[in-house]
Amino acid sequence: MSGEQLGPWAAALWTLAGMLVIAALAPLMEGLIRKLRARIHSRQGPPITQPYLDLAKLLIKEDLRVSPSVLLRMGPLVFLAAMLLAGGLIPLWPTGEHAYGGDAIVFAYLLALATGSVIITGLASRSPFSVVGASRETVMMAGTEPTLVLSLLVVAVNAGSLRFTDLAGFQLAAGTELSVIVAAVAYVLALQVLVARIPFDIAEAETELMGGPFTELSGPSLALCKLAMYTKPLIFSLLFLQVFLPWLGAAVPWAWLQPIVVLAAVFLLNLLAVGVIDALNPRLRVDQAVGYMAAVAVIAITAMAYAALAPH
Amino acid sequence: MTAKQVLDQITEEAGRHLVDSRMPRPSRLYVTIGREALRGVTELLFRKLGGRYVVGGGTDLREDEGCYLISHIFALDPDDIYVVLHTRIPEDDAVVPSITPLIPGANWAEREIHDTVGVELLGHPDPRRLILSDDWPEDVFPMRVDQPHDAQPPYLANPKQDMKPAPDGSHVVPIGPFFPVLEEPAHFRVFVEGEMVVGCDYRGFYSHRGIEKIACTELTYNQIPFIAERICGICGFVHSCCYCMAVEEAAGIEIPERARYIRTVMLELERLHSHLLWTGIAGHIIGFDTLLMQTWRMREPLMWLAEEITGNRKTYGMNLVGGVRRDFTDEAIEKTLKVIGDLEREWKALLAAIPGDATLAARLRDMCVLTPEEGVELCVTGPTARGSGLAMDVRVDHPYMAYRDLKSMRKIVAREGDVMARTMVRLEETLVAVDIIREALENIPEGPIFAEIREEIPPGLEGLATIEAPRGEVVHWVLTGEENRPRRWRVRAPTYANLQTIPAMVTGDTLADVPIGIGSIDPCFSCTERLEVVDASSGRVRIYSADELTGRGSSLNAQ
Amino acid sequence: MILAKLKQALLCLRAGKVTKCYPFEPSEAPEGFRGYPEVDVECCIGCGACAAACPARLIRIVDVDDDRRRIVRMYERCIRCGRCAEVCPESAIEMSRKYETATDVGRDDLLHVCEVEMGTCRRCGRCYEPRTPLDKIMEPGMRDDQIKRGGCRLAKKEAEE
Repeated sequence: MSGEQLGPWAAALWTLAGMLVIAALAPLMEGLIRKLRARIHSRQGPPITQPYLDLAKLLIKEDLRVSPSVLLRMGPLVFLAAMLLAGGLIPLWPTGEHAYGGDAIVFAYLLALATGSVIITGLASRSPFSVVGASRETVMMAGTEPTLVLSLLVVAVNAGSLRFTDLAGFQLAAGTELSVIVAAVAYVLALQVLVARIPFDIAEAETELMGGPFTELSGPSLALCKLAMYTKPLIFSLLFLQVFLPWLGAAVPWAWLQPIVVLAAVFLLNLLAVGVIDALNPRLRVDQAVGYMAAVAVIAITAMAYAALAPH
Repeated sequence: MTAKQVLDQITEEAGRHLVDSRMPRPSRLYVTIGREALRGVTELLFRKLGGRYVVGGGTDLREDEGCYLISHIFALDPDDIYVVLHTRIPEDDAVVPSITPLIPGANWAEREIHDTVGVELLGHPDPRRLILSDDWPEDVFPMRVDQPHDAQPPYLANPKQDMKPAPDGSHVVPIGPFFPVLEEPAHFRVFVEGEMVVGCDYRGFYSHRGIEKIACTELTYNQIPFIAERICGICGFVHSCCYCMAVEEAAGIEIPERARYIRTVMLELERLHSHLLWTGIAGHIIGFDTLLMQTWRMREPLMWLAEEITGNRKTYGMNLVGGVRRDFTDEAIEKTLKVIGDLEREWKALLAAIPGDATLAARLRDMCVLTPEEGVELCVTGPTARGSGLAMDVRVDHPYMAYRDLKSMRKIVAREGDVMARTMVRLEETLVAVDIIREALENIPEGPIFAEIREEIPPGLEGLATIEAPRGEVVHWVLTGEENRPRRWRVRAPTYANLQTIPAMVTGDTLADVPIGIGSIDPCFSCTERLEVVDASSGRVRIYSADELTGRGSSLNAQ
Repeated sequence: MILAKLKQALLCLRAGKVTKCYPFEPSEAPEGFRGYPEVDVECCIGCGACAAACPARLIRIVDVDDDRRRIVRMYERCIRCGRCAEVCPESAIEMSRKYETATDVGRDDLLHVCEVEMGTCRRCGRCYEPRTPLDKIMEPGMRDDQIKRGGCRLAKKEAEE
């Protein structure tokens, strides 16, 4: 059974549930990454619940706005809403009787909307640092969007559908297609850039630009943006597992256990890949990142070309 | 070349404007000339003899001699000679020709001369205020003797900053005075087109503390080492040592051999902890916090060692005029050898892990290049100079303390002039410092650690001392005075010279490289800023208006 | 590249956790640490050497009357250099290992006053010999019951001649 059998209200509820799960777990993920970083730094590190406390503290502070512009008020809201909704579209059960899930194109649009609102927030803040940060964010988006979309499309072309449930279903049924493997490689290489962690946290580079697009935010606006940033590792790793490696979830015999195992795997992947790479590298310059992103995009394009041209 | 030969050439150039000269030892030449000959002799020393400009200063001698004494210090590194050029300016015609058109590196020293004693500089290309704050009155000159040390001029809210305007087509990115990378306040006004830097202006000296003034008005010879130690938050011992050496030279006090060795060991220990600190900061600037944490972890045992040997992690308090206060016990020596042995092992492991690291190289190579020619014009010193192929090191060129005897000392020079070169110079120097400490401790002579001082120090004597601090050459010049204190004390920290290279270094690179470019000269802002008059305990509080906070009232963000 | 990163990771992990949960765990200063100065008032002879030597100039000598001298120390300015302990001829001052001297009680918590009964040296008035001429004592003086201890400057000079 696929998500098509779920009515629109049920699908909406499942999506909302997914959003809440991501919102609730994102600070925990951040806390664990910080703990790992601390361990590599030979220190104790803050408790893993620290990000929750940070957000709570920010929420009760004054939201000092540098301009009355409505863009500045809406920017952080749209950023968080778009990220959470995109995350909610990723199925926790890609197949089976509870399957629900969104559309790859809608997902990509929501991410673009999220990045767009970051850029607008940076520009509306009018500080020299936030403007440079916004311009860097634009460059980063232009560099990773193609890879993300292409790698998803490769699976879509093979599966004949854009829905996440169908992509997962294709993977489970068909096994390993070469083009999909290459697309998966491109996605993994792009992961660190997508989650915007070192060496690719270039837009927000603290020691170069204070806070990048978020420099002038404070209080609740800042809390919303921080939470949105915390969701990135969760969302992109979850997407990777559910679309490219759905066998993990499918292998779990009990339906209620599937999302737990999948999320545990997401946490592990983030710690071992995102966290370790984040701790052991300096930040790259934006032009150096462009070179890297271009190379990864070439891999994605190759996968796409093969998928489009090869008979299936 | 000997000092005598230099003196002969100066005599020839100055002709009848030569007033007098002194050569108390082969490495020190003090020459007084008339101001008419200043430009000529400067050109001789800088261009013809290849000397390096060190610093200049102004002393108010109106009470005693009815004139201002303007001094410029030059170094002839290959010959181990320092030439101190004095010129007396009459108080009713307080004008001196500027030497900055000849020596770009003299820019700041001359502006400081104007700010401190009020002498006009004829022909200076950029006669803006340097060390005094923007709201300081025009006619109040701190180092004039009739200026009390605790004067408090009226406070002005939002004074106008005299900064260069951005060139056409570019806009301003202010790096400072509040900026996460700079651990101290400084304002680099960077002009950018997109991400490319097209120019830079600097405004510093936000944290003046009145050190030179208070030493000459309120403190005594043996109290000053403690304030000298607090000039810098990292290389304090260098300053207290250099001050004591200058006074000892002026007064003719010979400190015992063992005290020399102790000072040498402590200087090298300070170099170790300073370079490790810098490596961490450089890592932090490029976003590599792990490098920061690990190098500072390796550095911590050095701080504990210092705490046990000297009583404090950083302000060692070891120096007095005449020797050192605490001796090295056998236990202390053993412990030191163990700590530096452990550090050496870990440091070598770190050095082995760096070459293959592509992301680190990507951030450090080929950026913020300082060419040797620029280095010579701007009179740089220390690892900043050695990273651009300029092989100068005070420990070899002008040996002091125990360095003459130590064979482990060697200069580390790199050619590329980029951030990576300066980094590698410091990393290698760390290992050299370990060798020096080991050799010094194994050969330390027995004996007293304090000289016998039988009489008070007479006034009117001059002393000059230089030390290779972790950041470069530190210079202290002392003119002894009455009442058990100096008449004038001039301190020049290496960052004073090196900061002037920032505009040249960052132009042509991207905005992302500016912080690491600034960081690569290992700037010690607190070393650079020691002169102002206001009493530090006044505790001025500035309340920012809501307008300023929301950007509508601030003049700093506007172009 | 990967090898370099692995070497770095090994360097990091080998060290373990090096931080301490201070202030929830105590952290003692080592022997020889220069902490908060402690004055043994019984030994003080009111010579004023500490006041002359202190770089932070936090010690003030106030003569209340002919017989009583008050030594006022504003320890909020203390830089822990240990010069007072070094120059004190009676070794009355010791640099303790205390460093946790932050206080929320008020400035008076760091104000130390001691009062000494002064006597007059029968040879020279009030005097005391500093260790080197550069540590000139500005406020010489000697305590009543200790005139026999220490040394009157004139007496010493005479002994040398």
